[in-house]
Amino acid sequence: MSTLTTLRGPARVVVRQHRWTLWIAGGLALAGVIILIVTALWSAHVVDAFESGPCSAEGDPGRSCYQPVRDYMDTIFALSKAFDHTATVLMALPLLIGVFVAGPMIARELESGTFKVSWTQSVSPARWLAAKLAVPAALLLAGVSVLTAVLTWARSYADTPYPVQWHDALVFSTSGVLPLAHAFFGMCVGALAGLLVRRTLPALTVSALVTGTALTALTYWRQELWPPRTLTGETLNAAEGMWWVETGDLTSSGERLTQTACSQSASEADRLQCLADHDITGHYLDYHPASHFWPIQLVETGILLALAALALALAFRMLRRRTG
Amino acid sequence: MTGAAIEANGLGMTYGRKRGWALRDCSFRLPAGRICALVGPNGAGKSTLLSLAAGLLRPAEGSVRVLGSTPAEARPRIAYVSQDKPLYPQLTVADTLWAGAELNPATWDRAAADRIAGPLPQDAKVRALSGGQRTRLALALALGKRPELMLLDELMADLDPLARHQLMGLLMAEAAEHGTTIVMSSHILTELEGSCDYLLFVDGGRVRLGGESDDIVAAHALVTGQARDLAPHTVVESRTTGRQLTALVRREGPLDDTVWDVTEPSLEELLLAHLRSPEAPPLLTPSAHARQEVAAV
Repeated sequence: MSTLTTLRGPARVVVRQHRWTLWIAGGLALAGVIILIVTALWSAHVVDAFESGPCSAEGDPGRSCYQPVRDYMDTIFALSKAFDHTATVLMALPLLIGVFVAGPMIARELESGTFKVSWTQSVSPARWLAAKLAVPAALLLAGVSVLTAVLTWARSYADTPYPVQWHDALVFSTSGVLPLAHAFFGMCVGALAGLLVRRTLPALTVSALVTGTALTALTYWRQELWPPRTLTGETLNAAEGMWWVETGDLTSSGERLTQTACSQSASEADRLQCLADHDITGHYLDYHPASHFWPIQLVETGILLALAALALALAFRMLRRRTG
Repeated sequence: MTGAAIEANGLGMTYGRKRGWALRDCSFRLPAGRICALVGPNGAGKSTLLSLAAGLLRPAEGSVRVLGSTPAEARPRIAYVSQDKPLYPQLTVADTLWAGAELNPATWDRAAADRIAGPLPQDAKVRALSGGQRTRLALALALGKRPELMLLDELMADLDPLARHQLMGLLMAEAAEHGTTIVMSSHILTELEGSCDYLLFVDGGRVRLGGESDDIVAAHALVTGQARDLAPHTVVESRTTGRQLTALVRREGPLDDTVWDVTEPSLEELLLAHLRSPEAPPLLTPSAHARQEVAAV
């Protein structure tokens, strides 16, 4: 409690120092929310209007429906793009937050010497850093939560014919708790980069590179974060919503062959011969069902929070060692 | 006996192995309640010493204690104004003073800050202020904190003589009223000579003279006369023209004024002589001697 009250003064000063950036960020978040709501309502309206008409998007539209169906698909496609764009911005947010914390918030104070003012008031350097992080943390907690919730709602409400794949990177990274974890991670990397590099431009560059690399790597290896389920058989019945990890052939002894050796065969007879030659008796598919959404989300969040905590610990330790 | 405002023991600081020592083996004591001039040539280590006392840097070796505790613990009781007067450029004058109140909630003295910052345009952004105006604002921020110890690094460098005189007057009035200890650094002694009763002369990263200015001056003499041995006195600097000898000596016992024409040097002559003679031994008056840890009462 006492920590909170002693942070209030410095936090208010931080808000005053960066009020224009904060206003702009707030304005952009609000604009994002409005765009999402309007797009969702409009999409739903377009879908309703089309479905109450004589035409159907399924099957052969027929001569009279050709143009209406085409217009309808174009409109819906354009609208669903709005979700993708918002999702892309939300995915870039951790980088932007890190850049802001590393550059204008921390490194610029160290570069321009204003840290000498901040650190010689009644507030210790550690409190100064805590206040610098508390302000963006509170704002990103509010802003990212709202944006994620509205985006998730808008995607389901719009109910367009373009299906939303839960495992799509643009979807997975912008739903659940991951956007918050990403943003928090970006902020902590920014703090450490700012303190380490101490010059505005290099610091924000380093922060963006580190955050970008880490998040890209995690996205790349996301499938490995939770053990997949396996489907085997002579023919595979892959269902909608499965996230394919790996597929290949099985021999009679249960050995896995990742190359589908016989897919290039010229004729059916060749193929059967080929299967027999390789002792292939079936196929396998490693996949994540939709129920793995939360386990993967939570493991990735855990990794990011652990890395963020490490960055924070290093940042505070460095500050303490430098100032005594 | 009053406590020490600053006490350094074997204090040393380096900014990296290649750049050598900015400060080395500094031991001295500044009693509380003094107005101390911290003088020395450019690059002598004055700013480093003040930064260490302000808790902005961690010493590479030795220790410094401020107002009886570590600089970090004493932070709320110290005010520090850096040489380049950094202030948040995007804030206005009024915002800066508001920030001072927010960051020093326990001690903030609005009236003291306003006395200094009064003539400034309250709604002007800091980045639009002139050098002199920034100095005024930085000093207002420092005085508003109502500190027990003020560390002022080259505070007056940007001020015209009139403003300098006025601000120095205000500063001294505040110090006298509240018993504030002030350390002011400058490479121009005359800027400080009239106001300060204590002297720390730093050169080449070491403290070479420390103590009450009057006592330091009184410990030296400017002698002229026929060239002859000056023992047992310590010669700081001497010059011979023909058979005539002019020397600045540190008295070791009475000087024979039947042989020598003895006058008291000015503080400036004294410092210049020491600057020209780097090998002259350091002199600390009894009150300026660090008492190690034993003296803790």
